[in-house]
Amino acid sequence: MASIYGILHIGRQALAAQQEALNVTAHNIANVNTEGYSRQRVVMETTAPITTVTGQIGTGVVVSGVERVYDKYLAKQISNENETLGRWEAEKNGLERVEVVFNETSGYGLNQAMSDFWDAWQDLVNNPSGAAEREMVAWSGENLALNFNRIYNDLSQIQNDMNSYVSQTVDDINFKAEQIAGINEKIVKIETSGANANDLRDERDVWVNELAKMIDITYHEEGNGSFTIESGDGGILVEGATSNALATVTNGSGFEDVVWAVGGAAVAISDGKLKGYLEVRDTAIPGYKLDLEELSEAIKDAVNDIHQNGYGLDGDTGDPFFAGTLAGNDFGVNSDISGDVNKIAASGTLEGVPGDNSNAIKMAELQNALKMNSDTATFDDFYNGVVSGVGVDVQQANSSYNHQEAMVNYLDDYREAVSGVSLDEEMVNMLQFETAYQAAARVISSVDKILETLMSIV
Amino acid sequence: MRVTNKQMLNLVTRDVAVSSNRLLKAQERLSTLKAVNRPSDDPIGMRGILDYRKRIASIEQYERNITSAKTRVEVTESNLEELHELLNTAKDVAKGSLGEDEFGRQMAAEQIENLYDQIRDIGNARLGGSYIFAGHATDTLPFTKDEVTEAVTYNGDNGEVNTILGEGMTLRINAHGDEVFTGVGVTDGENIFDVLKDLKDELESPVSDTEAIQDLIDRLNKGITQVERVLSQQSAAYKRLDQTEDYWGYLKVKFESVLSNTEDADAAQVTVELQAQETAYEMALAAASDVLKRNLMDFLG
Repeated sequence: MASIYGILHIGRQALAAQQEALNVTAHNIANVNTEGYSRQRVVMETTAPITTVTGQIGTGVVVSGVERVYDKYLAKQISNENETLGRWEAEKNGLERVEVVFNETSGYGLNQAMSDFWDAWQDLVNNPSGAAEREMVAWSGENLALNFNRIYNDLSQIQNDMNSYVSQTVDDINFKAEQIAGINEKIVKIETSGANANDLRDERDVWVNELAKMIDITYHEEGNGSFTIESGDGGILVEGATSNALATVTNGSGFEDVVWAVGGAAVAISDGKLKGYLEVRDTAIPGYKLDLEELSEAIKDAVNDIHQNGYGLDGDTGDPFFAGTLAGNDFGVNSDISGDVNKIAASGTLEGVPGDNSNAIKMAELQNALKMNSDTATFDDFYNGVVSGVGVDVQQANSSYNHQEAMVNYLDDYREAVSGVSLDEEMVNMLQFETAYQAAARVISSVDKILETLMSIV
Repeated sequence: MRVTNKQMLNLVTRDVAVSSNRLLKAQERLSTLKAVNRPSDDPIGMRGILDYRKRIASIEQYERNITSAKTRVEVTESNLEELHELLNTAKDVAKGSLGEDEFGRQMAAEQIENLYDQIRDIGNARLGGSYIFAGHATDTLPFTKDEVTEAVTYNGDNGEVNTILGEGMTLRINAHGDEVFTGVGVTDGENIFDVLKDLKDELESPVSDTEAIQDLIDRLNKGITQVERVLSQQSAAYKRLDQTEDYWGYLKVKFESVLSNTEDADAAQVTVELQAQETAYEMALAAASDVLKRNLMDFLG
């Protein structure tokens, strides 16, 4: 026969169980807006029944655990896609800045400066001994050099900025790795004693996703509940409670390379923001700079070649028109020429001075000469190709980013569907547990009445 | 599939962000009235835009060259026409002197001397500080007269002055002293100054030599033909300049139109687009506020 105190016990246990359930529901409701939170559920189990003469009699309910509704494969997918998102975000931002530097839509860029330069030579053709026309040639040459230098230096500036981002990101990565290691330690402690460290796991997931945005990682869970995180090339970032730091070391070009702090081995990076910054700094921008150097050197060589074979108003020959190089930061008009415009060689022959304009004609016709791309393109064509190339690169980065963003959004939504808190649902749950609590209370008051009745017999 | 509050919030946020992005782009297009505001808006189009701009700038330069060349040719032509007139006058004077007495012939000789000097002045004509008949020696006085021998020497050279009409196209626009005045290097050439000096000398001599005068008139004719040859060259050059100018004018309009089609945004179209984006944005916001308000708590007791 079941004991009265047994029934009381059941009632009391039921109250406790429903109360715990309410507690968890309240926790869910409170965390509806928490980043990375996975909703929790109580798992209720019946307690072991007792065998009596009449058969098995149940002994009530107990909360056997609180579990987190979570899809770990989804979590891995999300962190993977975040890596690529971070990379394209960084690359897109860098390239958009490069696009602004070229500044061709306003009409005041290098395209215009080159046009003005050739035009100035044609004006000189029309009046080879004119002082104003000569000044104009010198000025437009300087303007051309100015534009080249401006673009080149602005590109170098962006490189430097990308470089500082690399350093900052490395610091950020180290910080996050430390955090994860700390949480690993806590989780291991709690789970060895048998409980589920639900909230801490959620927190760790958030950190891992942020880390993934910075650098490509792979991770797996150890038996004791800690995450081991490896970077893309196999080096261990986090293992248990220890994290291995990354460091930067200045390389031959004056930029920072990423290495392991212990041992100094280089880190191969293939995704994440670091990859984006490195791509822009080490591949994209140097490519554009090389193109500019190629163009400026070609113009300088072609112009000087013609100029040095002509004669200035002072009967002198052999002066180069342009001097210096972009890379050496001293590209410009030969100072002898800008100091004395009579040295501009418009004439093709010594006897032809001052009325001969044949050298100026040769110079002006350089505009149409096929000197670039193995003699298949003019200077203008080449430059237009560079600008268009920048546009294509930016477009590509943009579309990759948008695609990636859509992917991450979709996965986030899916994760929400699985692990997110729905207030409506929690409302219903609350009702459910409330009612159960009330019913359990009724059980107790019912037992109370039975006891009273019993007492009154005696 | 479960739908949670966060999902609805995220959806709302993203929709509003997309709408406002499109709105921003439409506003940008309206304020710049350009469809292409950065190379990445349309990389291929951008290349075309830069190319067309360059072509239009080139054409404008060619037009400037042609204007300058036309001035030069016009000045040269008018000088040559005056020279032609003067030479014909000399011929008339020479013809008229046949059968004149000594006094008449002396008068004729003086007229010829005047013509001699006038023609020399034409030879020294200037345009903006440069001598137009001096070939390349534009800063040297082309024709100087020796006071003693009264002979005129040509101090210039026979350089050709070209102008740039277009890509790889140049046109000679000058006439130098040798081919106009001294006949050096010209087939059947005649030195006009020598002819006139000889004519003056002949007219000043007391004895009238009809044959000599006839001979000189023949030589004058040769000189006139020489000038006419150069005149027709100049007029041909002018025609060429005119035609090329028309050609560039026509082509420029075409390029400008193509450039505009690629680069410019139609103001009316962009305004309508902006309206549409504004409406879309407002609708996104309205939908957002509606979705966020409703939940179960409104219905529970």
